Amino acid sequence: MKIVYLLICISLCLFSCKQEKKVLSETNILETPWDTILQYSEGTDVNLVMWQGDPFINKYMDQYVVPTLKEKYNIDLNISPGQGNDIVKMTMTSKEAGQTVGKIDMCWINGETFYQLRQTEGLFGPFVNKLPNSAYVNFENPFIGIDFQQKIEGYESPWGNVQSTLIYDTIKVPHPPTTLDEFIVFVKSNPGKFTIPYEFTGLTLLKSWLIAIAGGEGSLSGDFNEIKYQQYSSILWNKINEMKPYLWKKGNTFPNTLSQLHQMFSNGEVSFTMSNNDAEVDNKVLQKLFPESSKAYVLSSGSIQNSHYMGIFFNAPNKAASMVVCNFLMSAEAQYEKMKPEIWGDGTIIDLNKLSPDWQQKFENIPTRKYAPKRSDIQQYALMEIAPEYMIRMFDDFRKYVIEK
Amino acid sequence: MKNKFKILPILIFLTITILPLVAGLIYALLNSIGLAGILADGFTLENWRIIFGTNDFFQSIAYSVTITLIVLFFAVIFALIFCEFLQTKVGISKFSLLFYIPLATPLIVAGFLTYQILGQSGLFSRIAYNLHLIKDTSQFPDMVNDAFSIGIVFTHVLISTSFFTIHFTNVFRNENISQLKVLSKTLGAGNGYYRRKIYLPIMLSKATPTIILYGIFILGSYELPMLLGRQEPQMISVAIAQKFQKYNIFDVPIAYCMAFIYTILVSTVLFILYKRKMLNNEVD
Repeated sequence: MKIVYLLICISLCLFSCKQEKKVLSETNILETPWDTILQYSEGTDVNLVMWQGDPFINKYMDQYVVPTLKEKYNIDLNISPGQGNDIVKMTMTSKEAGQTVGKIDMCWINGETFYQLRQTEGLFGPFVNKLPNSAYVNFENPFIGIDFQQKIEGYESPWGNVQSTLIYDTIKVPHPPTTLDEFIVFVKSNPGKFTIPYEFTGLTLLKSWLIAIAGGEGSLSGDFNEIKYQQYSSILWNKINEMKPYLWKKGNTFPNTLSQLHQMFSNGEVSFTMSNNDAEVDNKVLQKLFPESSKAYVLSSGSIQNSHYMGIFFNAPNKAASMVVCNFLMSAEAQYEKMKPEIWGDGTIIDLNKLSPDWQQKFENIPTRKYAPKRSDIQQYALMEIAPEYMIRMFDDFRKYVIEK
Repeated sequence: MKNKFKILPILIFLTITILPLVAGLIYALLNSIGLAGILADGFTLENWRIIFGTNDFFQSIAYSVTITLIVLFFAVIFALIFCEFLQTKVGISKFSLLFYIPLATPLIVAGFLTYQILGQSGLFSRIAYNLHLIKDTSQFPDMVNDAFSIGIVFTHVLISTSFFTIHFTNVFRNENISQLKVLSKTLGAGNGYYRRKIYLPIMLSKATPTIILYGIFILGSYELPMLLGRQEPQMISVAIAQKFQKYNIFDVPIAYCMAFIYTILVSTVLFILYKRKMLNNEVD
């Protein structure tokens, strides 16, 4: 029995020692010197929730980020699956339960999740200007400093930058349409070969068409405008309904997930798929999911470019080490590794002009993509994300005015 | 003292099973009327007005009930046929393992398999194309994400039939129906009479509670309609989950409202069936 008590005491001591190291005072963490934050982070765990639907991204995290963090900072990064709304619900539940110290430290987020997490005050911050590597990021770049028309204000650290593309099979479609009107013509002469997934990526395409109808880049910037939305969305729904009978399954149903559309594209059921990551096509061809005749392109009417970020939860148990992780993910070495097409191909958030000449050269010498367009070629067509309310309304209205019609 | 020991297990049972459910239901109700949740802004019936002001929710309920009844109809008929055939002609033991295989398959996996088999780019479509029965795979009949929910019904029937066959064979054995059959034949009854007056009444009345409970399981199924169904109409679980999971967090109270009404409806039906003694195994 004494041995049991002894073991319990030792365990409690060890546990409390580790916890003590973890808990850097909540109130002054943002005023704490970076060296102290590094010191407190050593030997601790960070729990990250992120989408794990891409083997390339998972491999980058498991085989590069996790071991490098361990080696450089002695931080154990534990990754678990979760995304978007799950994350929002998790923080809402924690808030309701009055849980001041949660289980999860940080999450991978994009625009609409950021909007919701800010609405529910689910994020810790502003912490980004604390991170030494933020010096290499140009926050004046609206594609980085503004997320879905909302200033990030230090509540999420940029991780990558992507532009939405359409992916087509060059053998089946020698001359892909580049505007919505051209799409209508194409779909009418090639019935059943195009559809729009009823999820985030499909909505991104719809948003780019809405912006184009409204007059192009900047026409819908700023807060949500009900009058503009009504005016331009009705034109959009009319145009979609014009091509509806010629869409996949005569427009009576739409894929619920992007992976379903990818699968339909890979087995030839449809001639187009799409991605929010301009480099994804290279990954998918390398995975042999897409045929080598696949190619990605952007519409001449514009395509949405946005960044994705890392956020720290308001009740993260280890905010200090989470900041160290965010800082590492923004570093030149982590960004460089991530940008290689054979690793992930994700666009960097670093302003290359702020890097040393050596690093600039390394970034410039990354092999070019084979199936995706060069970023420099599509930058001119980049559209900024519009206010999140547009997407919320379009999700409901697509159902109301297209699916149910 | 004895009474204490009798009450304790009941209390434990209530604490573990009923209490969390009731608490969840109360929370759902409070959330739907704006009295719980971090977005709550005071008492409101707006979410209830939205649900009762449109047909969407009740269409989903009607669609879910229709799918459930169709699945049960086919699954029970197939299972009754299999049961009698296997019990009287072959012997269930030789094939019992085969009937467990569909039950061991997760619904989402079964859904993917159906997609790969019945889809327009699936196995059957490709076979038909290679046999030159169709000129293009898009000419293959629409059986996934289709207007008649063939994919959903097919997959549910596949799994339910196995479940009911195993259940019916147990009932068959427990009720000594084979002996009743011999007895009825001895008394001069034909096969038709035996099936109408002995086999079907005993099997169905004994299996009614299980059929009802399995029906409730189908009614609330999520994975198959999500993967194989359409956006319109949607089965009730998919409709609720969409409100919970999609982009507008102000739809969450509507989702709670839908979940609350659905639970109350199903509980009411179960209560009525219980009162009518349809949830016990007594044969009249």
